[in-house]
Amino acid sequence: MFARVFKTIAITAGLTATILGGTQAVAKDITQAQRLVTIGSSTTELAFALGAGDRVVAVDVTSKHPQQALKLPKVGYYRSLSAEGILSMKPDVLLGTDEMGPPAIFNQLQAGKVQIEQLPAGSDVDNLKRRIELMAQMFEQPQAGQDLWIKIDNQLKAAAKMAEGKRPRVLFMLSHTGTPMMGGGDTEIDTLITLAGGINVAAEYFDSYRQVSAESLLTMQPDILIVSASSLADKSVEQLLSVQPGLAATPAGINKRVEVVDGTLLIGGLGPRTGEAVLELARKFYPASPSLMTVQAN
Amino acid sequence: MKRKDKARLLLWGLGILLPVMMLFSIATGPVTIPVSEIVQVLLANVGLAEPDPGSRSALIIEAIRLPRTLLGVLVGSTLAVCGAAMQGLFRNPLADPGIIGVASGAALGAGIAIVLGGMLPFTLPDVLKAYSVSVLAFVGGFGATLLVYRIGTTANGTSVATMLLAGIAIGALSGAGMGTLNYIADDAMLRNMTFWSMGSLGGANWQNILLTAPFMILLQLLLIGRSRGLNALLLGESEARHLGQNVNMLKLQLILLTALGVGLAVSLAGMIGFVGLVVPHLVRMFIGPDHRYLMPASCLLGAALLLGADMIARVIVAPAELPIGIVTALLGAPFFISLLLQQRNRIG
Repeated sequence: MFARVFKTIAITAGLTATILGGTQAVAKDITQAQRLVTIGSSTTELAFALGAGDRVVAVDVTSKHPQQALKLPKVGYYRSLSAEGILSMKPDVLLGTDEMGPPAIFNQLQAGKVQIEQLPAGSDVDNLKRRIELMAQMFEQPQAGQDLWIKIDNQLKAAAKMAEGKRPRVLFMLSHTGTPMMGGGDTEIDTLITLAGGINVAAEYFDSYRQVSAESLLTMQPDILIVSASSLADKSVEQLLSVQPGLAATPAGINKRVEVVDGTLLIGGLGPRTGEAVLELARKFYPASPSLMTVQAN
Repeated sequence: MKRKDKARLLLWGLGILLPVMMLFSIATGPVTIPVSEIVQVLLANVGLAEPDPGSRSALIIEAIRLPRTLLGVLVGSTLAVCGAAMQGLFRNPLADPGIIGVASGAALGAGIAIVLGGMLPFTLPDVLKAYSVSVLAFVGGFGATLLVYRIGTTANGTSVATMLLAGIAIGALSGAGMGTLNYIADDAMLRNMTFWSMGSLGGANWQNILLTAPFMILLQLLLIGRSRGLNALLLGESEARHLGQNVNMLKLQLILLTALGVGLAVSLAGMIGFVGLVVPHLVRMFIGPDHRYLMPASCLLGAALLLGADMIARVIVAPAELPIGIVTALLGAPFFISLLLQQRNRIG
């Protein structure tokens, strides 16, 4: 009991120090760690992007990128991990965000000499930058981290340049049967839309994902509708609009402006593919942009 | 006379089965540990062998498998004996511990802890966060039961039929509360609620076990001690009264004990369905409805069955883990149906 209280105090103190220290804080060095278990799609993607992919021995079920990660053993969903399942992979380090759990397993894993590294979770770009820095420090690959961030940052800047004239009103729809779910503020898709120069209309009304009635869709007046690749699946845009009568009457429905994003970009925080995704969205938002030529020339 | 012998035989059999299942449970898991090491660790724990501190096997057994096995025994036996008590009290084969609102109330309590706890403007200390779901689940379950009991009780005593209906109404009300919470929850909270409602023994640790084991064992003993009263109730309430039972007191005791027992079980392991409903039926099919044997046999069989289900949950998708509620229902229900088909002529 006292050990637990003490640990809480220690963690709080450590956290405060990290916040106060800002970017000065040095993440613990896990260069020597030969066996990593990465939890969460963006953590796994970042580990591979930073050149530590060959040391990853297992991932969680949401880690579907890159291809190599798909072949690795899965230790379950990132909120309901099993201590012994992870131990059976004989890892040195369990690397994920502070969303992974349940908390009960951490004591058991630490007792099993598994080092636990939790990165701050978040859906904004600053958080992505921070996680890239922290992971690059852990792997002692500061150069790879810097390169990755510069690449993403350049893509984001290129996307920002394309925005001109009226910003399109954009709506992201998650489910495709019944009452649809829309992506509000404080979500990964909100960040992507905003960075690509659009206005996420749902964010004006709510945070996270909510069901929205057909009538409310009309008041939102989106110019562009975004769906995840899996919700469109084998349906055509016309079919999609026909099952959601509210959508068909919006500007997006009338002009048939429906765009598709890869759903794996949208869960568990932003990852290394964020820059490309934003750039692609910006091209769709501003198809007539003159900057398009220069970006493609790059 | 014959039935009595059969009952004794079953109790002996289950008494042997349970320790065997416990050993299997300790020996099973995604990490392969040779039997010799398991024996060594277990002997070291009771002081019969030299402990080998720092060995990975010892750690897995002591920190993970042993508490998990004990939690399975406690939760399984409590759910089963509470189910038997409720089926006896309501004289209804469909009764399970959920019938008096304890399960739906607990779900609502846990939901409130998960959703509203995550929306507080400040961060709770880890200690509070870890226990808020358990504590509120227990409070919700116990509170719902008290409410059901109050609704069913008048100056003339407690009406079992009114309680049954009140339980359904409270269940619907909790369902509406859960729906509202579902609606305002973000996807992380939704996932947490879903996993909680499917149950897991994965949260087992020594602290929980030491804190709750004495209460759960005591509750089971007290429930088993009500066996004669339950037997009298089988004849009908007025008959039981004529046999010298204080029927209203007996009802209150059964309900309180069940609410406490199931409340504790649910707060430790989430919602695990099926065990409380089916285990007493299984036992009754073999030895008949005499509660003096039915209650202890339900304890033993409930514990053994839950351990079996947990072993499957741990191993089948390793290194991931299946929620145990899925296993109990997926394996238990068809097994139960097959028994029903075999015995439907005899049950009549």
